[in-house]
Amino acid sequence: MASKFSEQQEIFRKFSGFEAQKLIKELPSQSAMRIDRKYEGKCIAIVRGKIVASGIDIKKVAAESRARYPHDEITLTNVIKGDRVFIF
Amino acid sequence: MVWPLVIDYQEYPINRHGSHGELSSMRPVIDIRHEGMIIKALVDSGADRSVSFKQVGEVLGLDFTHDRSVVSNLYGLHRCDREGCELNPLCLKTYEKPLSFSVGDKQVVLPISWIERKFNVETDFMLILGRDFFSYFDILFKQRDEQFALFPHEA
Repeated sequence: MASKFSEQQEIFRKFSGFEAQKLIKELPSQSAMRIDRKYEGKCIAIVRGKIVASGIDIKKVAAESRARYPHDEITLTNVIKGDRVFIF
Repeated sequence: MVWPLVIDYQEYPINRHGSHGELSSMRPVIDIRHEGMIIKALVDSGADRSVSFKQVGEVLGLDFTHDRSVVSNLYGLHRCDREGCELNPLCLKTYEKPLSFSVGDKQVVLPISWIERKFNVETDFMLILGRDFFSYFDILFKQRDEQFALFPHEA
């Protein structure tokens, strides 16, 4: 019986190699949303795939979207301005 | 068998295609869930620990009123050589507080340094997940395919 470690190695191998595409199709994926440039430099709140609030104050954006959608899951993010290269 | 969560790099913030060695704006960003709120976090294998801002913590419902901030021991690149610069990590104060959140079906509790300075929506990431996050997942980056995979550790 294969150990958990070897099972994981096998998945790693598949993900790294030619079988990756097949594997990826079988697995859940997280998709990105295309965001308009007019939101650059702003914080945005997204509910059910739509931007429902935006602004430069993250707390106000969160509060406004929560007030309008008290029972929905709210995605909060900020749109970093311009082309930047990040190194940490 | 433990199945990975395979995640496409996300446009962060605006799509900028890379070519001929140039970097695109696609980054390894994941959605983390906390009490009805999702925030996008950058997975940073080079960061020793996870970092965010006090303002972001407050939006997530954390209360810092009874906590004391401490002088930051955050180091890293800072392009300004002015010692008193407010953006210099060594000038910052942080709160040390754990955050409980979920990634997919996996529940995670991470100690996070919450930076006291104002969160800058133009330049800052809301949350950077450092290598302490790797205690919960083995992570495989596939830069060429702009994908990464999280392999959850079994409890």
